[in-house]
Amino acid sequence: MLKYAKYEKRGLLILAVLFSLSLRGQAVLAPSDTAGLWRERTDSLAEATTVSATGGNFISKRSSLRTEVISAAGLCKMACCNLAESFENSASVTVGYSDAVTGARQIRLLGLSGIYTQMLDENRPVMRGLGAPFGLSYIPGQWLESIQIAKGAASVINGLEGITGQINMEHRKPTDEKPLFVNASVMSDTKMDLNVASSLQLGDRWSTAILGHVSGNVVGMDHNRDGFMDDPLQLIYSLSNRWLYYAPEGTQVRFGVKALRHTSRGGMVGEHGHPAYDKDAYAPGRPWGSDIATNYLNGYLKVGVPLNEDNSQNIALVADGTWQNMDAYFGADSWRPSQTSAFLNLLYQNEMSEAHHFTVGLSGIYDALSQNLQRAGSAALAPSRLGIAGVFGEYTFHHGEKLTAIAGLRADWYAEKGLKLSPRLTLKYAPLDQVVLRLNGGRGLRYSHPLIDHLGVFSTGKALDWNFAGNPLEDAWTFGGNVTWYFPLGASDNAALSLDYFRSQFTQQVIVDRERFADAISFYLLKSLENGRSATDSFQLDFSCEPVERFTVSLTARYTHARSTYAIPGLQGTRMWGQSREQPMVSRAKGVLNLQYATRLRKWIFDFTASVNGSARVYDFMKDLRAEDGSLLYPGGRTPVYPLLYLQVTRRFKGVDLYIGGENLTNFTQKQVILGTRKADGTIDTSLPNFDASCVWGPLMGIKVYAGVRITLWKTV
Amino acid sequence: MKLLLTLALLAALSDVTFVTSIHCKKCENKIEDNLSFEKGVKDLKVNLDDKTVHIRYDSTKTDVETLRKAINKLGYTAEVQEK
Repeated sequence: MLKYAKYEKRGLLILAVLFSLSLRGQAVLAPSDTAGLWRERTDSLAEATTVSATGGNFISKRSSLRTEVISAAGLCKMACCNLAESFENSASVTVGYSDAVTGARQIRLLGLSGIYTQMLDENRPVMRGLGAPFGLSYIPGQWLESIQIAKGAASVINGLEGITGQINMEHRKPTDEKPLFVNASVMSDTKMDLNVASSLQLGDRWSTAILGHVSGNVVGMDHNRDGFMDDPLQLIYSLSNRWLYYAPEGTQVRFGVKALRHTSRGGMVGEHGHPAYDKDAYAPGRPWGSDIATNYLNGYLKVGVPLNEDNSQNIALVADGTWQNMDAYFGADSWRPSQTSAFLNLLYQNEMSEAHHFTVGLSGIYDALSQNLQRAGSAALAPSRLGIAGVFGEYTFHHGEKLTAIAGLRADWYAEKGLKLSPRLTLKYAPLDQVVLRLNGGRGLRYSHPLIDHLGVFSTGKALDWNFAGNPLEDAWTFGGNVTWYFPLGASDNAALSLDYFRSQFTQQVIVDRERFADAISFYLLKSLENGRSATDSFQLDFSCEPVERFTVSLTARYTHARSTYAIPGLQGTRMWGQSREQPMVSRAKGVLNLQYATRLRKWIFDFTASVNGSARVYDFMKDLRAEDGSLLYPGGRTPVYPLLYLQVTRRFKGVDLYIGGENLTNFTQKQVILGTRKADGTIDTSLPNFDASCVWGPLMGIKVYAGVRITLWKTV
Repeated sequence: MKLLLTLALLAALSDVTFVTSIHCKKCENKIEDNLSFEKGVKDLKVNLDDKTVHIRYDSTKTDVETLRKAINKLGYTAEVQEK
């Protein structure tokens, strides 16, 4: 430990600068990161120790962007088997399912789909393109040390794909003094998780982290007796190895690999809870389902080199390569996409003085994607080669602790789309120690992947109506602000009250319209200057405090208003545009209450989370659906407001944590998840266009209970 | 009887503060996760600002030297802070 501390003071100082460029600027703050972020760690200690030590989630005081941090403690409040489930106690992020068949999870930030949020793995873009639909399930929660959710237009350094914000994951570090960590858990739905992590320090310069994961379920449940499994049978196994090399003079090298295999079989339930669908023997009239196999391989390299002794000038290289493929079958359809991606970032940073810093750099992204789609009623999709080459610069001005102003600009050349200029601006002002004001805005751009972004369309009998070719560029501006007030209350000096507002407005967006035609899903482009508007406003209020020692309370309320211009149902051609409407299946409001009480020395920890989920407009074709008793399922065309409760009790021993918990304790589930015409035997006729298993707005499973163990072996001398 | 036992326990409680070489949140976690389960430790407060570890302990079950060694074993220096 002493040896490492010495190096942190010398060598890691630079690397802190190099690899936390965006952290120190306007992107995600990583207070618990030990990835050489000596400065960052020092800066954020006060907050981390006073706020996050017991609570788990908190709003970062130092970050220039409005950033919610889910700490290691927060990741232990629930089962948090994977990244998606880690957001269950956050109101900023809403978690749902893409459909009722594949088990793919999706999130929403600022009311918009997760495809508009940039996912980062220690400030390296991940889950892009084909990696997105199941990506949230591929990151085990227990591999993570913390998660940072930054709202708004973040740093330009990692590209512009984050329109609504960035979510950064910090993994367990090679420098962790934990030679062995094991986590095993089992749920009442037969889902089992096993995670193993080992951080080893091999001398003064080398350290490595090995992360292993296996999860799966052995029986498919059909609690609502609709003939479909609530969750598919899945098996995921993944292995990651991360290395860190640092030299006393400051050079630092990080590299790593990750490999993953995922198989999933869902759809109609057969005997003994096994899938009834057989992709090789499928014919119309036989049991419908999905059969998906995914392979994923990723490697990365980061190098940071100081250019002078005081580390005020330095360069960094970040390179990343990913290959992934998927063999997916849905009834008679097959989809066999494959993607090869490369990412390169070269940065130079100069800290001219305490007040003035700048970063400039070059970047390139390349994605080669083939899709091989065979689906009745849909044209074949041509392979795409998407490239982005860009230059960027970011200037930061500090006036002590009071004011930070960051101006960033990117010039990117997009293959087939041309040159795009994208500015971003962030202001943070703290007129008093206890008050922080933030303003932020800028442009975001991303290549859309219409089919990949909307995996749920495969779980329908509808044709796909394409009104454009290839991968249109989605273009949006996001503006917003935040005010946070810290004050003493109860046992803590850092009770916090925070209010934020953000607006995202698209100048070009791919609309996936399920209401235009009865028998087809229509994909078309909305251009704000020509035919309509798509905008989302999001308000959020957060309050957290520690009324008495070791008892933390956090309360959050969010309101989202998302609307867009859609085509007039049934109309085709250029005069098809109708009125602006509320976007369907987007919950307007959400409230989350989280309580945690820990006994002295935290030997017992009790976590309770309650959330209330507001209503959403349902698709027009769902408005007349009726329950078995004949009553309307969606009066007024809106989903019901529903509560969710979570409870967990943890008993801690030296090196061993035992926990039991329950999810969805109100046992609320969505009724009639699978839409379509029922045959005489009561099963859904999946050959008809009105078959639709993708209209998911609520929980698919009722009460679940779980138990688990975490074993930690600490390094000693 | 219960009151007598409580009084006896209170009489046996002692406090000690160590100035240590901890420097980060991870160090704090390591101290808390391990010292909390040392025999005789009744309460623990880690302060990163001044790098101190304050321990309330049952003097019939442990002593300052044992606690100091426990901190040393985790890789940190520990000196008793004079009051």
